[in-house]
Amino acid sequence: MNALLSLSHLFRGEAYLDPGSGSFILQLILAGLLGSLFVFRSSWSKIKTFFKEKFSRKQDKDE
Amino acid sequence: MSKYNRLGASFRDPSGFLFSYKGEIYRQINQSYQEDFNHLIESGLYDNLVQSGMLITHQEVDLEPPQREVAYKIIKPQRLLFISYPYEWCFSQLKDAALLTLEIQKRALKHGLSLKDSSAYNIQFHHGRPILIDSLSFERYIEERPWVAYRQFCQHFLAPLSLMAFTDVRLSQLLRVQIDGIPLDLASKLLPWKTWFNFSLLTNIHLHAAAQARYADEQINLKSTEQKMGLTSLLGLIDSLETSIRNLKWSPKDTTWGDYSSFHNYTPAAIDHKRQILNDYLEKIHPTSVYDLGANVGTFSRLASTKGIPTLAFDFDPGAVEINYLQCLQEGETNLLPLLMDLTNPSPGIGWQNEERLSLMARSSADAVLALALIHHLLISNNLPFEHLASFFAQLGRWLVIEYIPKSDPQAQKLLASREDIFLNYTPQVFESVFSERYKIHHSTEIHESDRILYLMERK
Repeated sequence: MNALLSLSHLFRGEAYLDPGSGSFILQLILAGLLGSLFVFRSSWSKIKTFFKEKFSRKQDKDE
Repeated sequence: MSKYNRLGASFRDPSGFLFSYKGEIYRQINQSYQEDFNHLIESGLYDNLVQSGMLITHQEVDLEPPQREVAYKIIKPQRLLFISYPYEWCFSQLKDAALLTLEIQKRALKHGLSLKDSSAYNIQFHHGRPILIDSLSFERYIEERPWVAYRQFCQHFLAPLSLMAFTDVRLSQLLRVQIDGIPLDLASKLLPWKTWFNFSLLTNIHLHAAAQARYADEQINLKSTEQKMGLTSLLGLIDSLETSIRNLKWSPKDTTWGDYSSFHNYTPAAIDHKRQILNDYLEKIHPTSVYDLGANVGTFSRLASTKGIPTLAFDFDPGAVEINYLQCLQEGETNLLPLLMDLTNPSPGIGWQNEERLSLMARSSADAVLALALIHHLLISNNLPFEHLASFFAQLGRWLVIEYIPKSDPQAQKLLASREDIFLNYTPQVFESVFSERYKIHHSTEIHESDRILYLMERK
């Protein structure tokens, strides 16, 4: 866990708010999952938009 | 510093501080914040947020800095009519403030910046919508770093909103005791077990609280690490928090407070007449600002706010404030701000030296105060003598429109039903004589088809 706690390089001098070790570490633990979910959600909404547009264009043509 | 007055809420952040000078509010930006501030302006984020009404505007001014040795610039932020606090907001106000904070963070990340704090106190309601008032909340984004303000966001927004939605809406009042937001271990204890099956609340509240307890005493190793949080993961965190906040719902229908907008105790003619009298009084005095005390859903507050008068509508019922706020949003009202306030226990001064968050009485007063269908509640339910009421109203504003409700009124009788009538001085004569000590009574009009009287008074 020591590697996880090596966080000092992530700060400049101005950080006045204590982010909390636990809050920082939790984010690092969840980082991979959050990133994957985000990519999945973004791609999914792009796919949905693509098909919606295609479908509505087709409908316009039919009309 | 002597000619300047440094403000009590602004001492934590070394980037700068607020001060007042000749009745105006200014902000000193310190040299240590110079690069971050310049990046806010040069990256285009400032213009982007200001144009969307999300960030307060400011002007750079030529004023001698209160702390010259560390000063970079002095700015004058746009003036706000009234500063309100998260424990005075209804559910949807706090939710909108949370969503604004996340939207700002997303835009900041696109411009190479990140929010370095996410305090709910940095958000205010201006022209009916939430706005970020701290221009020094941004720092240049450091690649691969987790969000510094994540803990604060969960404590200030996610914890109170989930407690309001899942446990009890009145738990927003914990914010009045816990000045840096609700501790996550406390929120975790108070939330029902079903929230453990909600992925966002499981991770952001329950596991977050567990991680805080687990790693609280860990020594930080100063060597470099392989552990990173890339931008995609950070955007994923913001996205998951946003989804979580959007999914939190609370509706006044879920409560037993009942039917808000009806007036069972007035005939239609009486309600019309009351409206007309109030309208006439407002036309006579043209107030520059109005506090409506015990405003319920803001029916009468709107007589003032629709004339363009900035109006605060206070009520102690979270359901009434919620309905009022939702109506403001629906109608796009910009002059009305509904706020949660128990007049028998108004917001106190809290925080360091009791000055970080001001008491209601220490904040600005109004030009006119409305106290409609109110005094019987204060008098009978809270045993407040007329002298105390007159003194309270006189502190809050110059003009007073007050409705006298006689003891014989069905609403007053309802309050007396379960208790002994110890209110021998509750008569119109005593009322007028006591209020005349502090006020000049300009008008009094009996409301048709009722025994109630509407007075217009001016503080002496």
